[in-house]
Amino acid sequence: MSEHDLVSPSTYRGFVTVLSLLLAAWAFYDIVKWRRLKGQDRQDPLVQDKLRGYVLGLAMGCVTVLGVLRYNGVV
Amino acid sequence: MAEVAVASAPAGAPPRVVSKLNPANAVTASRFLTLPGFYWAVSNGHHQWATLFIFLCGFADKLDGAVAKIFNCRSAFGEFFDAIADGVCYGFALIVLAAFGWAPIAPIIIGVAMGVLNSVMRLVYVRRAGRPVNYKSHLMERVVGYMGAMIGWATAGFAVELMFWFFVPAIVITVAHDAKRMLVDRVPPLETA
Repeated sequence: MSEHDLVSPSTYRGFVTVLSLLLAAWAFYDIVKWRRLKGQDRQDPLVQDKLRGYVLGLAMGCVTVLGVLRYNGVV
Repeated sequence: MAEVAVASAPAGAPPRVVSKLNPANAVTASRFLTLPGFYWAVSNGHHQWATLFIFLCGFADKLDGAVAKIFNCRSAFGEFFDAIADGVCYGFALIVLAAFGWAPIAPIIIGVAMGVLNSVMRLVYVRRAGRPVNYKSHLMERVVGYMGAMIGWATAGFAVELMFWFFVPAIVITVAHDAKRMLVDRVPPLETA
């Protein structure tokens, strides 16, 4: 740990990992929002925007989990 | 003297007017204060400090919306200012990361170019609307959130290549998707409810 570090490297790694997993969980919450769109007009541009946003959110959640695994040397 | 902005009001009621100098906009403006610290941390190789500064910048981004609700000072200008702050803060941080070799340059160039293109389209949208209005896009909300996280990941050396290269198709698809809505589709009327 250098004199300019705020916390130990392991604490820092843990903080980044937990924060990233929280962000991934937040992204996966888009599944719930997606389900709420059931029955709405899929041709409506605003509904389409929401739908595509949720799909992108889910993809970001997946990539974040993959990043966490790589960051911690699992894959 | 503070200028005024029109805020949303219940249907039938006259539009409520709020000052531009309000707590929510102050929180948004405070995000700019993290930028010198971020530059200092990256230029001196202090990863943890860089993470802290970009975390504070992102946290303030989330906080301003809550402050606007608590103090009942939501306004069209506030949303517009928030979008500008996102572009300036994250654009600056990405350029600093590229300059000091903390992140791959190509995705950053593509991302900044897409950001500039999006800003130009937003200006066109504002001209079409005839008022300062923030263009709302669920895709762009996620891309901006991801961009903030991505900067933080770069400061931590967190799967940087993977996270930055995933960003490229995400922002290209988003800008292409939003282009039609901003440039072609009808501008929604002023929100009154």
